[in-house]
Formats: sequence, C-alpha cells, structure tokens
Amino acid sequence: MKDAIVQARQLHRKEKYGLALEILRSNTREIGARSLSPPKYLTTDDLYNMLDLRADLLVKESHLHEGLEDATSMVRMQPKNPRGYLRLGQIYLLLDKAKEAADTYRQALKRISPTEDCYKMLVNLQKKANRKFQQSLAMRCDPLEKLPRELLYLIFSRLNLEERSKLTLVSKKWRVYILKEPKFWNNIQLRLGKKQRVSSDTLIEFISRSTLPLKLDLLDTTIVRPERLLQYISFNKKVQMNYLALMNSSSLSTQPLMAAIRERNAIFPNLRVLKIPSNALDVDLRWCLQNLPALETLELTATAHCAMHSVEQAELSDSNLKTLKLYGGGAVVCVSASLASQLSSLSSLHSLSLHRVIADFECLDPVFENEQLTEFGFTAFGARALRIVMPEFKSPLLKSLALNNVQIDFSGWRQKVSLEYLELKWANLLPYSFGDILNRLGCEETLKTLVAHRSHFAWPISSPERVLVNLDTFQFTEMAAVDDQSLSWLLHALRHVKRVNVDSSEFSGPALMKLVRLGITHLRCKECPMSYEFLEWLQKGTGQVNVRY
Amino acid sequence: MSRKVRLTSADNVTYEVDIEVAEKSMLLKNMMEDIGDDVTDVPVPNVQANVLKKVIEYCEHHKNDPAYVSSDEGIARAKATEISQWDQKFLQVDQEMLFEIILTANYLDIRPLLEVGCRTVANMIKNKSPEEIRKTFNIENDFTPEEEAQIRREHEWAQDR
Repeated sequence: MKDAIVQARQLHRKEKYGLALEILRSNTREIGARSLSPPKYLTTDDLYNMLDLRADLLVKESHLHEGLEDATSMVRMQPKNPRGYLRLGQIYLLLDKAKEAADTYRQALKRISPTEDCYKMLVNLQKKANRKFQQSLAMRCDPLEKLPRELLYLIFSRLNLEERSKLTLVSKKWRVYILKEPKFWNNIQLRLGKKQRVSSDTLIEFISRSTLPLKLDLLDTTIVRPERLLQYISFNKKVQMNYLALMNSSSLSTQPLMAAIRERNAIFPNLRVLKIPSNALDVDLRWCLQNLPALETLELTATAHCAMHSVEQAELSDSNLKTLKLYGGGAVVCVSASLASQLSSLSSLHSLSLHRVIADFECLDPVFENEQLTEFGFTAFGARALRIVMPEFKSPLLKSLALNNVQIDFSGWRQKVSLEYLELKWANLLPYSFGDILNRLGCEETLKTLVAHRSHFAWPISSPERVLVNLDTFQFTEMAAVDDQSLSWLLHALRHVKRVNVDSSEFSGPALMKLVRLGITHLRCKECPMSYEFLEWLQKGTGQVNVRY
Repeated sequence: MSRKVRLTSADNVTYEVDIEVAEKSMLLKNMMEDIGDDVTDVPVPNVQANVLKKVIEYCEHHKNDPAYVSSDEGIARAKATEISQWDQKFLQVDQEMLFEIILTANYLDIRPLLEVGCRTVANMIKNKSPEEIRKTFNIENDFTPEEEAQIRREHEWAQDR
C-alpha cells in the first residue's frame, strides 16, 4: 500500500490526477473516509498524508463530496494541524458553501497559534470566505427594489388581507408600499369566521386607505363594536362605498344593523350591493329602495320572524334594483298574500329569490309583472311541501326557475316559458310526471340544466314524444327507485345529456350502465346501490367518462 | 422542419429557435408579423443573454401548450399555489434571476411565465412571519423595538391565525 501511495504522489506531481486517483483508490479502498485508526503498516501521519492526497485528487477530479469526507476526517484526526482546515475550507468554497468555509477557517484560527506560518493565510482566507458569504446574501434581494409597481401589484394582489397587513411589519419600505397602494384597500374581504374577531378600529384603518369606491365584504366575520365602523362609513364623505356585505356577523345580528343604518340616516349614494341581516324586512326593504339610489343587489337575511305586509306598491316602483334576495336565515319570513304583486312593480328586477318563506300562494294566483325578470327562486319553509299555484310570469326573459319544497298546482296555468335552468327540490309534484311538467312549462327544447332532489314525480307509461335536445346537465339526487319502464323513458328523454349526477339515488348498476351508454362525459353516483358487475365494468375503464363514485 | 429565427440578446449572444418558440412572446410575435415572412433575425434588446437563455428554455418546454387565455382573476388567485413540477424546478434560481425572468416575461409579454413567476414570489411570502420574510429576501429590519411592538398590536387579529 505504501508503494501505491508513493506511486500516486509521483503521478500527482506529473499532474496525472485521474490515474493517480485510480491507483490510490484501488489500494486504499479499505481505509474508508471515516476510519481514523491507521492500518498496521501505516503511521498516523502516513494516513493523514494519504487522506490529504486523496482529498486533493478527489477535488481535482471533481468528486467534491467524497473529498469533503476525507477533509473532515483530517480535521478530526489532527485538530491542531492547519492542513485539514485548509483542505476543508477549500472544498466548502468550491461547493459554494461560503458560510461553512468561513466557519471552518474561524475554527482553525481558534486552534492554531498565531506564531504559525499559515496563521496569516488563514485570516485572509476567512475574510475572503466571509466576503463571499455576504455576496451570496446579496443575491437575495428585496422585490421592492427590483420590480416596478405594476409587477409588484401582480404579486401582492395574490395575498389576502391578513397576509398583506402582516407585511407591514417587514420593513419601513414595505410598510409604506403596502399602506400606500390604494388598490389593496379598495376591496376589503374578511372571512375570519365567528370565532375570530376584528375590531372596528382595524377596519376603519384599512378603509381609510382606500381611494376608489370601496368593496367591503365581511361575511361571517365578528366585528367588535360594529357601530363604530358603521358610524365611520356612514358619515365619512370620503368613503365611497359600493359594496357592503355584513351577513352572519354574530355581534351584528344581536344589534340589528339595518335599524342602526336607518336611525343614522346614513347616505350611501354609490352603494350598489348590500348584504346584511335585518329584523324588520319590510321596513328595511322600503328604506333601502328609497334611500339607496344606486342599489342593484339587495340581500336581506331575516334575524327575527318577519311578516311582510306593509310594502306599498308605489314606493317600490322606481328603483334600479336588479337582484333581490330575501332569506329567512335565523328565522322564517312570512310573506303576505299580496307580496308577489307588490314585488311585481320592481320594474328593473332581474333576479328574485325568496327562501325559507311561508307564503299563502294557495288562495290566489300570483302574477309577476316584472318585465326584465330572468331568475326566480322560491323555497318554502316547513316540514311538508307548501301547496302553491304556479305563478305567472310576464317577463319573456325568464330563464331560470327554482321552486323548492312546494306542491305545485298547474291547473290554471296556460303560459309557456323558455327555461334553461329548472330546479325542483323537496318538491311533491304528484300527480304530474316529469314530462308533464316540462311540457306544461314549454321548456323541453330550451332546458339545459335540470335539478331534482328528494322530489316525487309520477312516471309516464309511454315513452316521451320529445327528446330534451339541449339538456346538458341532469341532477337527480336522493331520488327513489326508478323502475325499468321509467328508466327507458328517462333514457329516451336524456339522449343528449353530458353530465349526470345521481348521488344517493336508487339507480342500480345496470341502470347506471345504460345511462353511461348515452354518451355522457361526467357521471357522479356516490352512494348508489351498485352491483358488482357495474363496479367491475367501471374498473375496466369507461373510456371518456369521468366517474365519481 | 419548422422555420428558425435568431434571437440576439442585449450583450450580442444569438440563439436560434423554432419560430413557434419565439411566438410564445406576444411582443416578438407581433414584431415578426409586422416585419413579414422572411424575418430571420430578431434583436431582443434589454434582455441579457443569461436571462434570454432561461426564457427560451421555458418557451421550448411550453411550445405545444394551448394559447394562453387570460383567466378570470378570481380563479387565477384561487389556484395561486398550483405550479407544475417542471415550472417549479425551472424557477429554482437565485432571486436576482427570478426577478429578471419576471421582468423579461413582462417585457416580452409571455403571460403564462409572468403568471407563474409572480405566483412563485407570492408563495415565498405566503404563510411566513415578517422575520422569515426578511430572511428570505435579506431585508433589514429598520423598525425600532417600540415601533415594531406598536404595529404588532395593531395587527393582533391577523397574527393569531
């Protein structure tokens, strides 16, 4: 082995590093990088020298990590010998680990007496490594220094309000940038959940930074002392608010917000969207329509039992309201018999929804005169489906209809509507069949989406005359068993459907297989009574069909 | 064989690429359309060779992607953390280079690259404490302890999350 080392050293001098390394490696394989005790025929110094030589050769042949191990062994063998540190530091520098290199040199300086020759060299090396480390730090750079404002906006606008407000702690420059960029503060959306609280003062601070019309969306957020916030936004002329959503804030529901707004007679000339809780729907509705001239969307969630009697027709007629949603949130909305015709006078209304409502549609046939109406939604409140007479719509534009938890009487109905969306949930539609209803509504050719959930239909005996040519999406969830006769009816009617969702409905495996053969692209069939054959068939691959089961 | 064009960087290094690769940049695409069919040499001033090389690498890899459709802002933000593996690896560069890539993507109008670059930086900021952000970008904390305590109090609601 000694011979091999001598030979390698000679080759090293002749700069034949590859060959030298090969000879050295093949003869010193048993001396692993970690074994610090020399074999019998070598002295400790011999071993140390061998490691130094091997590390050097490994570096020259760019096996840096192996070389690192040898150099580490050298330092451990002779902690007072500077050569180990020099070698180790050199390799760290080559590996671009300037900090480790500087640390190595620092360690060496502690162990080695200042009188030794190489002390000065080590001091210089340490300085050099430190400089390199500082440079590598400089490679990290503040995006605020490097990027122009419009690109910074692209980055920071991806962060939410909480993230952004945290950034004001990074440095003065960041603080100024974040706080002075008004675009960040014109759309304040906080969804902290009821357990998290945010103080009015914090919100006011945010709001005070906005310049453009403010969008304030605080759904589900608990605001400490909301009246302060309210006071600020209602009296500060600078705040041009166009969107205010404060639904479900627990502290707000105990302290009715609308009442406060009414009392203060706040003026919001630009408010376009308002979503808030209310404990007196009729009063609030009237107030909003009279005092908020720009209002386009109004969502009022009832926080107390609300009966709506006193809205007078004349007061509603000249508003710009496009979307109105009255929702019995914590309570039930009782709608008086004449409400429908009163709401009818909202001439620009596009979308009307009344949810969790008790209404006596039974004894009159309501007519919705609104000429622009495209969407109508109604969900009755109660354990049993509410009997209603099918309301009449004057709008030729009606495209979307949802009638939930109702039993519909079509007997006097003569109208045709070109619906694209029909939703019938928890509906008792007996004695009508599916086809009957579509036929009576006159939407067989226009319907694109049909949603039924826990509803009861009669099934026709014969096949339908018409195929639903435009139907793309069919949702039929938690529905009772469909017999073969009815299935064949369905399969005929649904020939063009692309998306099917039959979660928790009693569709058997074979029925599902037949459905898939229709050429659908998406099938959802969670909790369906599936047969083994169907599962097996699914696993074989269903080609283009995207199945969730 | 598809047509080739030669792109020359600000420091006079020329890269030859397929025309589809160059056309990933809306700026170059419009420029080449304006000049006409016989264009073979396109100068890319303002961009240094090392950055141009990276950007070309990106365009080569994505040359068969469908044309970029600017997505709805809301959707784009919701997907803010989704970056493909190749892109992630591609953007594992030092920050100087990352910012140069973003600047160049903006200048050359390569929207998907700009998007993914901004996302990468946003992800470097997300879910980090102010101290970690300072470390990430080597920013000096120039607040006095009193100032910092004061600001911290203002933002307690966001800290506790």
